[in-house]
Amino acid sequence: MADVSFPHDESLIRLVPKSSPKVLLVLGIGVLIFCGSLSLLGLVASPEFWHAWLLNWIFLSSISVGALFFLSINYVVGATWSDELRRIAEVLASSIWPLAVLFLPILAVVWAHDGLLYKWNRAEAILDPLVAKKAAWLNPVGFALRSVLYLGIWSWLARYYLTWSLEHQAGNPGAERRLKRMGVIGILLLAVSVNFAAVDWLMSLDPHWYSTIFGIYYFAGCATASSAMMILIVSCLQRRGEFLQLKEDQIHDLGKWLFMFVCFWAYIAFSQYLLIWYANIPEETQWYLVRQSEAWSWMALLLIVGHFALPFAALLSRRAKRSPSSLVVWSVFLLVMHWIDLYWLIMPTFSPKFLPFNALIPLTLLGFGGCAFGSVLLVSGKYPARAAKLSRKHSLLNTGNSIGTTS
Amino acid sequence: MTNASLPNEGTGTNSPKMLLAEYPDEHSLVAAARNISEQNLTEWDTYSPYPIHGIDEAMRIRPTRLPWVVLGGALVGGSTAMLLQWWTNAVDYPFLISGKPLFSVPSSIPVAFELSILFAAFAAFLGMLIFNRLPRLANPLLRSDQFRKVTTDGFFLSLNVSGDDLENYRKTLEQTNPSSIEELALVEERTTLPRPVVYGLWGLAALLLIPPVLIARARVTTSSDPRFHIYHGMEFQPKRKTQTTSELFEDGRSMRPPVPGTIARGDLELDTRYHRGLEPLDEMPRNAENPLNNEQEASEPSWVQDLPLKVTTELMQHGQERYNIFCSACHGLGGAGDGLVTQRALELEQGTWVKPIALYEKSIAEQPVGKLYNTITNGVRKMPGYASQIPPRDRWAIVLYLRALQRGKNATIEDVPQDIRPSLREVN
Repeated sequence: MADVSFPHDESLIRLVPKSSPKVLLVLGIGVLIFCGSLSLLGLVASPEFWHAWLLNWIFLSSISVGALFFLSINYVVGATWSDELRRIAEVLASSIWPLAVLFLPILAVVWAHDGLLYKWNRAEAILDPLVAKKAAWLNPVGFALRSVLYLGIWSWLARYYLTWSLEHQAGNPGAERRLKRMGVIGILLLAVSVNFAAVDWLMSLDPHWYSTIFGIYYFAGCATASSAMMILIVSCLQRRGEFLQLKEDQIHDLGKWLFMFVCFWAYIAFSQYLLIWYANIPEETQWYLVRQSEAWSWMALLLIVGHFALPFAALLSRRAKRSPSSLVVWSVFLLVMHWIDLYWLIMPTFSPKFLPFNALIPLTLLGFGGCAFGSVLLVSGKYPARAAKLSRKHSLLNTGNSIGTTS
Repeated sequence: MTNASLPNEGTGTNSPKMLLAEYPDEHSLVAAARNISEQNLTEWDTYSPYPIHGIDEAMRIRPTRLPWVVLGGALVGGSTAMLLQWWTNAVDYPFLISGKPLFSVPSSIPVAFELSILFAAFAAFLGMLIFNRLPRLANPLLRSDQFRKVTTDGFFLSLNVSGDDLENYRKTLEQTNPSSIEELALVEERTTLPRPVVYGLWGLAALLLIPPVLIARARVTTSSDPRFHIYHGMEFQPKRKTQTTSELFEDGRSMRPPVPGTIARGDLELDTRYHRGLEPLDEMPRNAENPLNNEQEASEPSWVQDLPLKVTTELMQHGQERYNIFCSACHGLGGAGDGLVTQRALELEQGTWVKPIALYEKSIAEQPVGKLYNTITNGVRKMPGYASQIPPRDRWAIVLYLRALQRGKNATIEDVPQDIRPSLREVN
């Protein structure tokens, strides 16, 4: 990948200025070292530490998974509005590489059988008949193998997309076909791996509970977060001079993409809730009961209002979707809301009565963010921020090139 | 594009016309639109097979109000749905479903969601029709053959002009480099419906108000008229139902007892040995050993001593099966009186249960088969009769099996056939 040469066009702006990735990386590593030293003071054997680790890891990896989806789906449908934005998505997807390394401590704590993170991990879990029945799936070996598989698929896919997109930009004629084919394969791989990853990493936190739509719920959150992150990055790049020619219609498309996933997330979240509420079977309702009682009740309401009602009303109008400043505001808001959504998913399993907060939560977030983005940008920061346009032989859209004929 | 205000100053001999200019592609159309819009002309429009990015700005079209109409439709739909569900399920006919509150937000969301979408779609559709002043009775564009290309690859710009300014506007158009300009006659179009049609529609609207008014009136008033039965024959059938009275018969009952002296088909039980386990009275041997002794006959009927059926293995096995089904619940699988019902009843210690005597006890083993049959049929002490559940043949089969149980309890190894003995285990 490093030896792909593309024309040194001065108009192609680098993704980041030269110095900042190193700063980010150093910052990230430093924060993680700080977390490590805190943990040595006795916190590593605590559920707080591992839940904070899981929460922030999932938050950042969901952005890269959503970016993988963005790329795959646009290749599958042959979209051209997004082709110049692909590089941003590819870099976001590539952050799964350092994140995969940072997942290893979770595998370590699962191997340790202490049950600090997952309840099915404890030695006495075998006494629970329900968990014992699921032991063929929920066991450390299987968990580790499957996690390696998911991360392997995502890393491979991200690398493939980035490599061949750079090839395409350098003029390789076969690259586009490869990318479009990989879009199809990628969608299928993502569909399966994201669903099962959500089940393994998030749903198994409460091994008694299950919801068949849970994988899609997680995916909806991923897509929302990655759309929001892409909008933020586009806006940052605009301030540096790139993407200034972004047509208002393309901004509108990004806004529509974000709005769509706000609606989709709410639809899936409510579907999951309604079926469980209506059937009122204690086996299923206990998960929601914890999350809407005591201190968690106002957080559930906050999600309804903040993750759906407010952004929906705000982004409903055409004007809001076309205005970069409004999109930036709501993207930041939705990223925070997605984090709160994951917090509400993960934390009640070890703290059912009150909202846990300790210094580890923001520290691990900063640490992961710094490490992941810093290392990714260090590697790929020299690539042009704007990807090449895909060919429009078969498109009827008026983009300024040839006029499409019906084919 | 309205025809309400045609610029027809002048003598009127030159009728208004529409100039239709065709362009080779969308870019020239957009440029032409920009050109024309700068001249502040009214009554012009552009046509293309697909929406063109940038045409709105080029034509300086003000933003449409349709989204607000759609939003209004969605809000009306949502509130209608909520109101409907609240009124019908919580107020007018309170209806408990699955123990949920009479009106609950989560359960009413699906309907509200669907109805919002539906009303929004209706609003969009009707709004588009109304804002575009459709349906129109005629459109001069449809008279142009060239214009047919607009659905595939034609790009057009139309300009309505009065006859006087025709040449000026034609020159204006030509400056935008169209590939052709066509002239179409504008026939003045009615924009209002004819009077009789309007009166007719108002009359129809008035008539359509009558049913709701009648329904509303019926809801709030009472009536002494009997109900109207659509299916009269179904609701008032001439048959008599059980336990009702009847004026036809002297005793006033609809249910008729059997006619005295008659027997239903299949109910003639001539064989007292088989059906009742008793020797028939007139065949009873009268001899010295068994004189007609009133006391004895009163106390002990003459039971059948031998099974009135042919004893076969099949009958024995059938008896075992029937015994296990009907009898083992109380008497136990081995007849010891340790069935599950007995065990439970004794556990409860209510004092109302009598433990059944073991069926292999001497007093039962000595009873003739007819007496056993009679016990099954009519019951004894706390045991009810099983006549209605077990047909006679099965009762005799059970009696046969009982004999096997009794014999088994008092058996020795000599009773076991030679070939089976090795398979028996010594149980100490």
